[in-house]
Amino acid sequence: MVRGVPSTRCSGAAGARDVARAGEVDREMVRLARSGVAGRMVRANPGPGLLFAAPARAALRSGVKVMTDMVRPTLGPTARYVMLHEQSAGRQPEMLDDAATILRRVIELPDPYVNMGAMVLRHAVWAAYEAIGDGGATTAVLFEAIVRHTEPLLAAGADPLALRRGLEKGLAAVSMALAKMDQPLEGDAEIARVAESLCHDHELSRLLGEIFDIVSVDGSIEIEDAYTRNFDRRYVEGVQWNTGFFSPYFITDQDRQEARLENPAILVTDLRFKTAEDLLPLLDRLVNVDRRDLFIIADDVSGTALSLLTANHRAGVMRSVAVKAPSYEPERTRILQDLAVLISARVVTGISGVTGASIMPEDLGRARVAWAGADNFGIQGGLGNPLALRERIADVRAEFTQTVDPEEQDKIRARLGKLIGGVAILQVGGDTPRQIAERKVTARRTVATMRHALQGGVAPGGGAAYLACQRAMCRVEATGDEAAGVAALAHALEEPLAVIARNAGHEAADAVARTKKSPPGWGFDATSGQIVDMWSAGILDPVPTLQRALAAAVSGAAMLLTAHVLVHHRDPLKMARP
Amino acid sequence: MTAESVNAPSREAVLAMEASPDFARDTLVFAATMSGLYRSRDGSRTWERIETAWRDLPLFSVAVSPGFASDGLLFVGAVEGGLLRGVCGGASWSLADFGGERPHCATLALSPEFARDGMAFAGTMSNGVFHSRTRGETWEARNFGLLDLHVSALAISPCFGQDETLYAATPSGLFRSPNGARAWREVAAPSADALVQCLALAAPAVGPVTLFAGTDGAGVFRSDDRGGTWQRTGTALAEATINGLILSPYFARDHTVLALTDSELYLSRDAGMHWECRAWASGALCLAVAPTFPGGGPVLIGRTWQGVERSSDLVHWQTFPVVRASTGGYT
Repeated sequence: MVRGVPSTRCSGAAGARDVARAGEVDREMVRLARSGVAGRMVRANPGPGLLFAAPARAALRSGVKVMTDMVRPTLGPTARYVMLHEQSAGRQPEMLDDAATILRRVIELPDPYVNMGAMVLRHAVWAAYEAIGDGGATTAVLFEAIVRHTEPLLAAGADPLALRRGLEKGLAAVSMALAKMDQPLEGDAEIARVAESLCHDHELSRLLGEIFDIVSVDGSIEIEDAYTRNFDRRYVEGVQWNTGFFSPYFITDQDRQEARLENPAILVTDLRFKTAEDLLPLLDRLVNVDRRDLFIIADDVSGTALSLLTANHRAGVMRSVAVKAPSYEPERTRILQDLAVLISARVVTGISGVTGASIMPEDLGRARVAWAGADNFGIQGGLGNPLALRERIADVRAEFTQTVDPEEQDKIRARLGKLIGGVAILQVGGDTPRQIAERKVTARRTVATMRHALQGGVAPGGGAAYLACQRAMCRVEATGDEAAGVAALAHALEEPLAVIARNAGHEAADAVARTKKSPPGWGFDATSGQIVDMWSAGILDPVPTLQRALAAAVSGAAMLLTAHVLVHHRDPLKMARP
Repeated sequence: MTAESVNAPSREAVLAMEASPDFARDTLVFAATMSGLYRSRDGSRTWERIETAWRDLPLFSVAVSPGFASDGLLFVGAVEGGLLRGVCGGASWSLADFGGERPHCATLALSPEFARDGMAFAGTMSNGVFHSRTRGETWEARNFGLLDLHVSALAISPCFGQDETLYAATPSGLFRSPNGARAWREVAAPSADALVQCLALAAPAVGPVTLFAGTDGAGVFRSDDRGGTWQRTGTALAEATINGLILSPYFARDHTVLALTDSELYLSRDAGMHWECRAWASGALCLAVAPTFPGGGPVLIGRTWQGVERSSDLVHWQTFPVVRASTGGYT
């Protein structure tokens, strides 16, 4: 019907006739999309495709609806999984509860026009997920609801651009209202409660509460497989970098192929030592003060300088290890400065005009243990000044908050982890490799979202915060179609709560009505079916997640609003067939 | 009420003291002094020196296993570094294995369920906190998040089996571990200027443990939210240096706290709101109580060069010198 009838594809007819047919087209599109018939039709007819006005909007809406239907069951505390077929024969189907990943698995819907709507939603959900690591299902249901509530307005002849402006004004008002609601998260118990509302796993949440309480929002957290059935955590003390020693002659432990010094003097420098004369004065000075363990972190130690160190090391005169300074400029300078604070050393830089011969023992730092392998080295128990260390941590944290580039943030987070004293490792166990893999995905997602929650605070969850924002939208200044856009968004804000209630087997309209009547901070607990104080019940959502999900939904839906014509490219291969 | 000192020669400075958990039956008290470890078999009246591997060495700290009656384990930390582990009530000693190091163990804390879990913790003067799961035989550093490795006091939760909570005081701040020293998190310091010298924890009827901190020159502080916020307790100790702090095992019910300053012992029966002086003892260094305190068990004050003060009712005090003696000799 859609592609086979030229008048529908190319007529450009709009207005009442299209409006009247919109519902019918919509139903048909969904049916076709679900059955795959539409896809077969496309392949049978490789010619160019154009779709205008109401049928175009209906096709887009169908795509949005199909995709949203796929992830709608995953929203809320009673979320269910979506089972995905595995391409490889004999493999167990994939079980997912993460909307973004589910939608990511959908490469293409059979009908190209329906597919366009689906892909816009898919991108919106993925954009939200990439930014905050969660909120995919919320983005989808909000997106679908906005499209649903604006369609009658478009059909009645509303100006799509004015509607779009209305949506954007409403979005700004909701974002501000959400920001005003936020409460900071403090303490392991509170953090764990929010984590549990995200991942619905008590043990994982408890451990994340503990980990985040210790390493804080910008701490270094790694996730690895555990050889147990459950979650666990460990904290790797000490700092480690992935550059190794300059010579295997430094090795002190043959079994572990490791060079280890206890209580060494540590030189931190970006200098290059090539001749024995570069290092000899320092070695003499250290021997004079009875310091016979030297750990050198330098850009290069080679030639007779290296021979001098290894010869004295093997003779037991001066035990030493030389390792390459980690990373590259400009990162290297920052790392060396961090390291110097950890061990109470002075970074000896070539740029300051210092040479190897002028290095004094007091320039060197100290640690309980320094070790090095072929590919890495580490320091444990740096004997730095605790107050200087705190200042450095505060400086690096400030640097972190001023950085927006995620890659740069990761680097700073790694540096912070080292300053704090190591890396927290969340160990993920399970009964099968598949279960471990799925749990790791959940853990990663929760960690990412919790970072946002800790940075941006939390608000009442379960859709209650969105519903509370309806009041703020009453104050948005808009008229005509803009006001209609604001109203459409206000209606759409009920959708997450409605879906959560419906998924839990409750009457959606009743849940929404009861929540609207409840005092601020109260909302519908889908598990018990009661109106509760969301703060006390621990039903909380990260504010950045709420803001980002709505922004992504509005952005995507606004794009569909203004789309009037759909063009399906020809398939050149099929066109070439006789 | 005033402590009377006996003019005895070569009296020892008592740096740390601990009564046997089975004090009601064995009346044993151990004292770490400037010249080694002493033991009293009669509740501190007379003392004998225990021969350890470190003869005449000054000792910092002493800890007695909660299951001492059956395992006979005790630990002593030396001023010059290292920790000795005594078995059979101190009849035999061995050097605890710290991976080749000999840290200065200033403070020791054993799990209340030591008999079952074998967990012990040592706060050291420059190497942070060490942890043992092997009943004190082997130790490993546990300093993740501990920004200052100079640990002056360590306190273990009375509910450690459930909450795994420890606190460590350092010159630059106070740290809490919620997971048996796997990792540490800095909490608020009671006072910006005064260092924390001693810590004490009590389990209330509900909620998190109550934490008391004794400071150097700013008195006693209390926190009911795991070190998040602090309230100064009473005014009597506002500028006092606190050398010892002990909470009643029934703190949730009787709110009894003992605080030892350089020269006085204070008692509070309302969780630190009000303090009353119960003893003058110049040069007071450490405080210990029998497990039966406050139900008649003695309170002991270790002093500089003047032995031990003892009272069972916090009214009448007696002084018992700990006299430097030859091996195994009684004073």
